[in-house]
Amino acid sequence: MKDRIMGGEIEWIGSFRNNASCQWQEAGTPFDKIRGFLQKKYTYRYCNLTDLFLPNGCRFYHEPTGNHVESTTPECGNAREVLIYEKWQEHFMCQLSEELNCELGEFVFQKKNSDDNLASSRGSHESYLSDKMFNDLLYTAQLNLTATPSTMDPRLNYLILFLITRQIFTGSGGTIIYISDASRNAYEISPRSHFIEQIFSSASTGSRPIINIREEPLADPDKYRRNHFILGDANMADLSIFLKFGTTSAVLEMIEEGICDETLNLLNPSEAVVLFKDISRDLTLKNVPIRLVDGKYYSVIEIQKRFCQNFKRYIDYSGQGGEKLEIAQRWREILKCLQRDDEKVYRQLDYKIKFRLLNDYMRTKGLPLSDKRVRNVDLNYHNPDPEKSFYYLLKNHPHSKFESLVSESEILESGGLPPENRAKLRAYLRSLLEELNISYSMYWGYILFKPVSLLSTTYGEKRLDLPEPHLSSFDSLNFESNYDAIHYLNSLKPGAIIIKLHHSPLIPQEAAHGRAETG
Amino acid sequence: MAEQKQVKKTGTDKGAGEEESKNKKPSKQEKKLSKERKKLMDEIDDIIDEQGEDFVENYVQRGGE
Repeated sequence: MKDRIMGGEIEWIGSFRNNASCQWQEAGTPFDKIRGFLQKKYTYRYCNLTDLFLPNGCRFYHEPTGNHVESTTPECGNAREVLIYEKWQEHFMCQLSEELNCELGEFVFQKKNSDDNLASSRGSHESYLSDKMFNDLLYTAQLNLTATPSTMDPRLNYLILFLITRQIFTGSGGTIIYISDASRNAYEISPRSHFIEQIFSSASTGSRPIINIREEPLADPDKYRRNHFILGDANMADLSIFLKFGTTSAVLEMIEEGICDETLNLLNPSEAVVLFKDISRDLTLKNVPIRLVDGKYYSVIEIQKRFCQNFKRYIDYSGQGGEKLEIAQRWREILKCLQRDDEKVYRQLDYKIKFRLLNDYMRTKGLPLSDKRVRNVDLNYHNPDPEKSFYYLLKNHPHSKFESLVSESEILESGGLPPENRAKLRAYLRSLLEELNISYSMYWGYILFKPVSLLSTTYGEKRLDLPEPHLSSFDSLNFESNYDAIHYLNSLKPGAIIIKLHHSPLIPQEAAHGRAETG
Repeated sequence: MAEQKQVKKTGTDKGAGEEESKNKKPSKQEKKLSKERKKLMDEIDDIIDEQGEDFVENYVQRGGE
């Protein structure tokens, strides 16, 4: 899919205390207060759910399983857009804690994978709208859960190899503490690797997989599959975020377009999970040999270079430039820099920046890795508040050479508006429902609402399907299936929703085909 | 890293990244910045103290197999 929609989710570490003399506690608990505060702020009077879609299409909610607050980007059209909205969410969380601090007590949020004393972890998940071809591919995988070279499709092997090796630019870095054996305490590339136990699974808690096979497209299931990856780390550095989404989408695109380098396959894919963890522990990037189908061993950088070369060849051949060219160039450049441990990586990639920060701190203060002050440095690297964040302390330092891929004004201005796709349509429909005093429940792919006159909770409930994530126009609403809802809204406000009938309703197949081409 | 160095290495991977960065001679600019870097470390200390150093105990990432 050349015009992929993608997005990211952040599960925030949230801590709360009534005042400085009180103990810190999980901030999931006072979520009702947070929600009430936000609902008032955005004057959402009729939203039934605890989930809130913010005016720019970002979603903010409470995740009951892990008892944490979670936020997502809206549907984004490219990696840069994901970066803008992810950074916008950092601003949002800062502002939220500041505003809440006046009203309720003291809140701190951090964007980090971690586990806590309740043994719950927080993820930084990615979603990539994909061609439905992945349905067949992953269905077969589901049948062959024991991954042997003969049963695994080479395309999945290719994807898995990419996913376990991309951590050399996407890793957040982190201190790992072993309670029973302190000699194993270490700084690792991808702390998230400790939570990944399987190659395929539909679980997002418990035995988490490299590839999630849960089928939940949040869009037209006849056209799309959503690839949902939960193995990534929570990043602060612009380049780590940009490349995480950019390169992963690139590899998915090559698979969709029928391009798969079958020499870039693990000889024994069942080793993928162990390799993923071993690579995370190897800060040299040289000491974990990865055996491919040709029987030879390669380093993680050599493998990533080949993925990058494949992508460059693919975009050259398919005549694509723009952001995709930028991704290929930045990818190539960072791999080169990693190979010679160039200074640049210490200001571009999270696990490198943090590695140097922790080393400097430990050396200056004479503290070991396991010391809680050192772990505080690790954790507060991920604070979004520029005044308290150790990432921003380094980035905003007068002598800093950190490069921003997006400007502050882009984050605040572009990030404050919904992207030109379904997110914009959803924003319009929400203001319409609020204006018409209709209570509603809003989801990614549909909206439920109840006619004003009906008191019963579900009887007469109307549903508006929003199956097309690419489009912001009413034309993406299927007229026939949404007729009842559209008719009702138009009866309250004539002309509220106008659908041009020369599109899909008259000749559904041709119209759908045309849409896919012009996309 | 300090703690890893106390441990006898069993593999080539542990702490090797640190070895690499230690073997590098600091550039002029690094030397110049080191004073500032120390100041930065003190700033970090102030922030940790303000939050309370026990804050982190709720969020220890433990190693898994």
